[in-house]
Amino acid sequence: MAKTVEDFQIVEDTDLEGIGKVHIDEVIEYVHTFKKLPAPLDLYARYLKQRWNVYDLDFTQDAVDWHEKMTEDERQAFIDISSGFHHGERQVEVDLVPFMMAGTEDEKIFVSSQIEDEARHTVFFDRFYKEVVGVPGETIMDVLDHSYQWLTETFVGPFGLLAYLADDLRQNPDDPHRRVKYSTLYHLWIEGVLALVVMKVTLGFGRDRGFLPAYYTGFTATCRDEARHVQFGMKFLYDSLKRDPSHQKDVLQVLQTIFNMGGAVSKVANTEPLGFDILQLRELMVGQLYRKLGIIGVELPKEMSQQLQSLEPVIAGG
Amino acid sequence: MAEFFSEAWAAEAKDAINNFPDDTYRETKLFMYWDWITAAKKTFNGSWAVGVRDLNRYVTFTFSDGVVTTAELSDEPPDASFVLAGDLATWRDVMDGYDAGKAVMYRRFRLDKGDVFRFFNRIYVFTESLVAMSKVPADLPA
Ligand SMILES: [Fe+2]
Ligand SMILES: [Fe+2]
Repeated sequence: MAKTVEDFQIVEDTDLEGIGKVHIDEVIEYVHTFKKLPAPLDLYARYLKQRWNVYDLDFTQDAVDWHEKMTEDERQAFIDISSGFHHGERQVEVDLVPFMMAGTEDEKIFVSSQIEDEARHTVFFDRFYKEVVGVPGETIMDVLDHSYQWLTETFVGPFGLLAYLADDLRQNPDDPHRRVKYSTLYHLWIEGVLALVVMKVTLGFGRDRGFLPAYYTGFTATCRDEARHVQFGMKFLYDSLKRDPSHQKDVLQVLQTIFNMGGAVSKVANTEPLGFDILQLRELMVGQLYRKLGIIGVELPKEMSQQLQSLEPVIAGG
Repeated sequence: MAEFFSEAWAAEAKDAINNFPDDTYRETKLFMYWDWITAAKKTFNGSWAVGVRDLNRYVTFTFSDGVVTTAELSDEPPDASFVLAGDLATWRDVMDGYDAGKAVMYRRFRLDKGDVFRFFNRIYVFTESLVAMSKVPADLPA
């Protein structure tokens, strides 16, 4: 039976300590459970209730698990995946700014909260890298520079595209077509597809093995934050498409470029030591994509659905 | 050593892009990645200019069937399919080994002209060509 909003009351209301006990799959389902897509100010009110303090996390046990219990292969796989989030969070933090320059005043209020969320997610990874992995650095950028070595070169595709679309939007912040393209890449693809799927890998591992409790808590709280971001984006896209169906072309143009870039694979995704293979991940991503397209009412042309079956997604999120 | 963004440097940069990558570098990445780049290059018949903003120097590479056929120097932004420009400090870092993709992602290079989607449909052609250029020894202004 399909779950209802009431089934997710714990996910909705719990504090930081409580969210550390929730299963990640519950939080991913929570993203898609709503009576109707919430308005920006409802999401803003939820933000104020769900906001957590990244400095309340204590990484002491995580550092012990990391150095004494995890194998070298597990550590490397974990780092390869987390680095896609470490940088992904930073990119979605700084590149969201031009989107706040236009839209309704209600939307701007919500976006301000999302910028703060993404900044907090960046600090979360900064703390994880410094206090658990042991990466040196004084500033946020020192630590990012250090973890850059673990990204694949194909990270630059989607996240460079986001940076350039943000720059393009900055110059024409009111243009509805630019806003829809930007939101398709940002909310629908990076947050709604990549992040939600890849989050499962490190969180699933942490939960199954009982490792890294502060990471599990903070990253599950991050996933709950993503629910607000994704729902905001789906509402924005849904409303835009309803107002002007020609936006369908904008959505497909972005996805087509993502699919084209997704044919370039420079390294084999290192997820198997954590219990996931790339086929599983692709299937999850395809599922998440169709779910989002269903919500906003966009259908993929046949050639694009075929292309999707051989897509090699970037292991990252934001 | 050729002066940075001179005629001589542009000619060497063109050869470097055409002969890139060497075997050692090729082996650091999956063959699928290089196949993607070869295919993306082959279907690009247009021009790509790179520029140093504070020197007002640009080099336009013309691509035809996967090969760079000409490299032309100019002292103002050229009328190319894509113009990608950064300041001298960025180029200096890239010439010293700073990651070219990172310089793109952090917008240290900006797309001054050209369609963003068309550019990203071939993104790794451009980032790897920047890497190729960075291997050409050059005399940079102080
Ligand atoms: Fe987000
Ligand atoms: Fe985030």
